[in-house]
Amino acid sequence: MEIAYEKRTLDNGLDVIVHEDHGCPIVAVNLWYHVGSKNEQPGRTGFAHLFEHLMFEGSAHLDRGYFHPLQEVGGTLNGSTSTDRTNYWEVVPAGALERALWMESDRMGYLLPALTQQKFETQREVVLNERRQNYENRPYGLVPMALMAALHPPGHPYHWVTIGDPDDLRAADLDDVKAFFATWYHPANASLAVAGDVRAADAFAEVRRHFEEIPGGPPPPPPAVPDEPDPDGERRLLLVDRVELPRLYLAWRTPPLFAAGDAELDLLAEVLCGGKASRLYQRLVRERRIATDVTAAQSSRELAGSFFIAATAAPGHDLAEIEAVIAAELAILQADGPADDEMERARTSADADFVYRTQTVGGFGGRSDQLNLYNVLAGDPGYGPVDRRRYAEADAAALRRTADRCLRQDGRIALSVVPAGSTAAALPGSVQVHPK
Amino acid sequence: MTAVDRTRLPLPGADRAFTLPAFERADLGGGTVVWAAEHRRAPLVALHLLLPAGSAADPPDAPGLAALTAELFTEGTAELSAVELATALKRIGGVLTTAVSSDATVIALTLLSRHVAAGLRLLFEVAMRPRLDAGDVDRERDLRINRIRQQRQSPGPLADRGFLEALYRNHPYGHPALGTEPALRLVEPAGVAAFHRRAYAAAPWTLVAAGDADPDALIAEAQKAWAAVASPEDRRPAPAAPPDPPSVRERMVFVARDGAVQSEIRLGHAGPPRSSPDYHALLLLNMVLGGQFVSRVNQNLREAKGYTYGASTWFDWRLGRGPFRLHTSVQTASTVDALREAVREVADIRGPRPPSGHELEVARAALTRGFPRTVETASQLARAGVQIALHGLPADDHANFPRRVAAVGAGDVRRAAARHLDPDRLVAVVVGSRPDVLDSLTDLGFGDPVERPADKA
Repeated sequence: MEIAYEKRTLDNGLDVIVHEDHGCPIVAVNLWYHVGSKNEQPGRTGFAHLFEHLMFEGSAHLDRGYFHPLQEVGGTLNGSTSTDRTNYWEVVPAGALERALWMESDRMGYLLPALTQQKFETQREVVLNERRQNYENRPYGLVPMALMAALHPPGHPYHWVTIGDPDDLRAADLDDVKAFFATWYHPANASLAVAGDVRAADAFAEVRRHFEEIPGGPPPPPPAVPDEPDPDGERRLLLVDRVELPRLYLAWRTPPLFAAGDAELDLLAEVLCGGKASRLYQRLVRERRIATDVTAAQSSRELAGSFFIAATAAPGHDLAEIEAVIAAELAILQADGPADDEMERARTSADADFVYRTQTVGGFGGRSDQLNLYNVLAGDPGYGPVDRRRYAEADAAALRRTADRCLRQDGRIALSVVPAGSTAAALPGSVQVHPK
Repeated sequence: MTAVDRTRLPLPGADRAFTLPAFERADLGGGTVVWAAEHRRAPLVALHLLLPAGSAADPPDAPGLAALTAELFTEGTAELSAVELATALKRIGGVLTTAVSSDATVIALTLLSRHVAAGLRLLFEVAMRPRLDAGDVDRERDLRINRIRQQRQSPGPLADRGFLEALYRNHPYGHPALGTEPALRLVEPAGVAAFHRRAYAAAPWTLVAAGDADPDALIAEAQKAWAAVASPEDRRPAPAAPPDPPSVRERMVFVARDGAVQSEIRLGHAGPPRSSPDYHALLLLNMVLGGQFVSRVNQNLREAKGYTYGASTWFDWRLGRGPFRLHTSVQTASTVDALREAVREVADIRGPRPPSGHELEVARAALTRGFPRTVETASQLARAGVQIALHGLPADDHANFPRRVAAVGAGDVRRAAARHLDPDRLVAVVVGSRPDVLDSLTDLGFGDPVERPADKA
């Protein structure tokens, strides 16, 4: 779906994108900073996300919580940090746009004067709690740590996960916050989208009024990406976790977002595991009943992608049985490619996703978020139709070739996650890892 | 262009006029009615089929039967195998989901609007003539048993299960929709087919359709699709609200998860049904107490104390007396402090510290000024329609929502708090590390903790 927009760049380097839609009296403000955990240093991991929390604790001219002034006018808001970027958004009644822009500009321009040691320490505790709740105290919760560390070598910006290492978080201090803010949080490293019930001219004028006084900084340095040697064979890892059933993760390093092969891998995930008609679901869950679930996904990121297949063993079955079925199905795909009807299903499904994504102007994945994604990661807010065409034009031969090139057995990580005392359920020859 | 004034926050402008799309209604005969509304924001249509039976309709000896039966809606129809059905859905850009709550089952199909006729045929076919093949029943039952087993290591579902059991015991609300392993083991394919006939096929249905289509055309297409599956059998009335729950026996339930770095906490008691005249006042009360980020419970436990990543409260609105509940997950060392603070917040808001005028205005704005974005998408509008149908509310209930909330006074909220919150009846469930947590739980005045095994389900 094409999302109509206008883009201007302020003198300080801030990209501003406006999309008009007068169907509902709300306006979305969506602000991307092109910084994520990929820009952290080993020993200070988790910092980009911790910083995101501090952005909600008040700024120089509004030294109190960021939620209150927006929720009191009927707005909703949130933020998130990934390996590649940090985003912040508000969806407010149309009449409250100015307030949202005032607040976003205040924390972009004047965050540090309001920052205190106490706010910093409280938010660090909140983040440590988030980590405990979403990773440490959750079955299979430490898998991302194990996989990212295995997929990317030490020193690679994706070697660690965005939530970070708890020891690193505890070691961070206020000086780190100040340096981080100066380097990454300025107009020239940001992209602002405004979408909804507002006239474009008014939106641009209000944005200029609030943001142009903020000085743009130097373009931040790109992260250093060490050369990744080609994998020299499969690596088998074992993670003993507090889980009921063993689960196998297969993971490959794959092309980055928008690169050749990225869309094909997305479609391959659909052919393999997209619903009850998919190949692996058919084989593993329905016919042989040796797995309770199976999923696949291409995780498209800026510097490198990764492709995952995960399947949980049914009671009484081990992961070697599951691996054998997956390997056989991959080999068939690599030899013959998908059938015509699978290809049509996968393409229709992908195409429908583009329509589904246009339902909301704001929030995670809404139109304003997409405009920023395309602007920041493809350099063009109007990249949507190009993105969509990648899926429409992918054919069975391209999927076959991509599967053959990117999903080879000798290039993969195979991680067995098993309950204590059940290491026999793991793939033979797996080496135990101890992520924290 | 005037320079920005950083000495004061801009005041919001007046709310713009907003009209909620209205539903047109038609009786399709044979016990099914259709509601259709135009919502043209994306080339999609949302079709939500309400079957007024959910997990509360599970037979007492078969908790989990409704949800298992509903799972089989996506396992093929009389005419289409599961794979053919999945293929047919993908071809129309369709996403079909089934949600089983305590009082209802909703089969929701969102699809590209140009395929709406095909979507309607599939939806009715799925609901009225599921294949219910014995092998599929057997497999899906095993998959659900495995999910129950996996939940023994998941603090959230463990806490939810313990909470419902403690609050409702053998009441129809006393189990999660997933059911229990011993009960599912006894389910036979014939039992699934009988449940489908009795609880789903024979109940009165409401199809709520919203999206990029003309309502009259939607109704006409629904009529055609319905005619293909309608059976002449009489429909029974929708089940009545379940009775009041029995009195609580245990107020402090503990589930051991030794070495856990966090304690998963549930706190609450049975609340009023959706039909309560205090509904709008309680929505406001909850917004102050724990309904959004700036609410008291989250501000206290997360922002002031740093115990947790988040804490929230809500009234779970049901036909019968659904739970009022507080959810949080806190670091192990803070378990008893967090519980004490949570209980104090519930006690304070109905006693010494009622909502202030300012708190009430923030709560009111969240509900009224935030109203338009709750119907931004066709699916949101269809979901709202389903709630009106399920609870038998007046047709203009949704459109009148902002006005009703605006009319609630501070005294109404105080009275509603006094009537519907009761700190002395609160039940707590803690899933956490026994050596670190269990002994401290006796200090809260909830009586001795009663331990519930994690594998009791």
